[in-house]
Amino acid sequence: MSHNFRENNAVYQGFILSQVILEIPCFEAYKSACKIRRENINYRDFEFIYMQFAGGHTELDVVVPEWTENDQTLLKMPPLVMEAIFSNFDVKTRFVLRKVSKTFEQVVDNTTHFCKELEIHLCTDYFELGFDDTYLIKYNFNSHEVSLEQDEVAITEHSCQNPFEAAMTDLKIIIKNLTIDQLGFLIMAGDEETEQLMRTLQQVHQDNGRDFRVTVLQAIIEVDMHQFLPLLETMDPSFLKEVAVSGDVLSETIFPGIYETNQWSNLKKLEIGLFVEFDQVERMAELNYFEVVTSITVEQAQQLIQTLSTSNTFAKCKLTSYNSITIAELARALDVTLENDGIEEFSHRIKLGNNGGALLINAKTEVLSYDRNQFQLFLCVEREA
Amino acid sequence: MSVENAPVVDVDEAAIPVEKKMYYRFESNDKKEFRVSELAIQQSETLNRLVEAMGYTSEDVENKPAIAIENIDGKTLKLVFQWCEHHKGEAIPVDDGSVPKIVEIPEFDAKLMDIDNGLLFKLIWAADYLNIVQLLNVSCKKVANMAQGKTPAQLRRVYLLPSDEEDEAAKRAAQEAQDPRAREVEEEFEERKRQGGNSFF
Repeated sequence: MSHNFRENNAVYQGFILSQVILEIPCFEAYKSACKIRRENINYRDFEFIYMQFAGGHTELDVVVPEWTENDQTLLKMPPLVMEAIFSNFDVKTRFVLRKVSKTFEQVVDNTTHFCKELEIHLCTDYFELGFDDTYLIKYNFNSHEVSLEQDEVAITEHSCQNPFEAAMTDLKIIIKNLTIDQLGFLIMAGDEETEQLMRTLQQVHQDNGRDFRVTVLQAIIEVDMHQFLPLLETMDPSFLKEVAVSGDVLSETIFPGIYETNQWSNLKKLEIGLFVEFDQVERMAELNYFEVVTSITVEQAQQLIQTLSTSNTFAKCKLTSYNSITIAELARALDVTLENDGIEEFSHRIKLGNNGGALLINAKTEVLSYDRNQFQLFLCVEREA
Repeated sequence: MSVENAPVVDVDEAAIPVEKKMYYRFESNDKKEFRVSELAIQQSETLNRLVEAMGYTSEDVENKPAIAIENIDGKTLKLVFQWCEHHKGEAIPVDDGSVPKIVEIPEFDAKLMDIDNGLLFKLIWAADYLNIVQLLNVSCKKVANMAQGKTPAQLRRVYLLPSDEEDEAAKRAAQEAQDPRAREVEEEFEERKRQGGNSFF
């Protein structure tokens, strides 16, 4: 059978025609043909015959042209076209493409690519890389296993002698020339691993020869480290619009240094889940939106409202203040008459004379502990057109 | 080939405004001639600029020689003009630098690009050369889709990518072609190494 199939062109082309009629995809039909002929058929030749039949040709007499060096192939495409093609590949396909050959590995690594969401989790027992809520690579430091999941279904798993080293190598490959909509960090590991992760990122940053193109940077850092600002400074200021930081990191490691970075000048949104001294809060009025935990007095609340009312960029902010100003004190500072002292929330609108529009202020208080007289005040200020 | 016998691209005349009803004639590098509506030409920035610069009247279009496109063959150009005619009047996407470009392949385009790999790459090359933004977008997407779920060995075949061994052989062949003595020197070096010599010199 395989002999006939190999030697008799009409039988061979008849098989391909049957595959076209049965609507078997070209590559699947090709694999079957290789199996039956027990040899590697030239894919381009096979595809040519397949496409002739798909285009309506029905005679078993397709003449395959002689391919020449002048024929177009993927590797002969102009650089910008290559970029356009490669921008359509997802992370997994890029990894497979890298294994085609060493030359192609370089081609893949030198093209820019895009990821909507990249999550980097470094914990005591494992390291995780998550892409676009679809792929998750997990490096388990205890079991020495590396696994790939797609949509929460395991695809591959293999053992690895040094999972952390493998993770750093893969991270270098993935993040090179990558543009990311949202980059998230969760760091809950020891100082040594954390520093190594940051060193790896700095190295990629250097090798790239350009800043990381990230629009939203989110970091939950559960170790006291001073690496956040250096990390922030590796981000391309023209891309970075939003930053969110929380965890056990000390706010002194971020403020006032953040105001001196190039990234600050273009930032629109800042969410700080850490306690920040009030004297560092006022400058946030330069942003479009900010969220912060602080402690304010009556005078500081008045001062803040004054600053927000004169800012040209400010749109909205949320402040959480612990055990400082009470809601009654805030109301008095803003000339708001409350129906009674026990009231827990109020809204107030301040008309802005020169600039037009108004500031809408919503304040709310919540008791944390009656015994210890602990409470928090939520203050939301929004600019109305 | 005479204009009468030229493969005329199907034109939906009702969709073309009366004042725009002018057809340009183009000739591929294998002397195939095409008539293409003015509105369809607008999909190609390169051709649009060219015809604008020429300032042809309706008479010129008929009497002067067809505009030669020397880098593209008839088979590819036919696909290009079929695409342009089908998408005439549609807005041309503006590249605002945003990535990734969300590209959907319409049914017509999918059928048009149901061609062999060689022709598909020629189509991409032509779309790039003629600066037809949306055709380039969909054809690049089509090429990328071909990689879905394939192994490295399969990708080598689909994209005609050489393996490391083939790369190495090609490099060696190129070296030999440049300097026939290079191979002899290399072999001599290998031989000396086999004999246990530490230094070539």
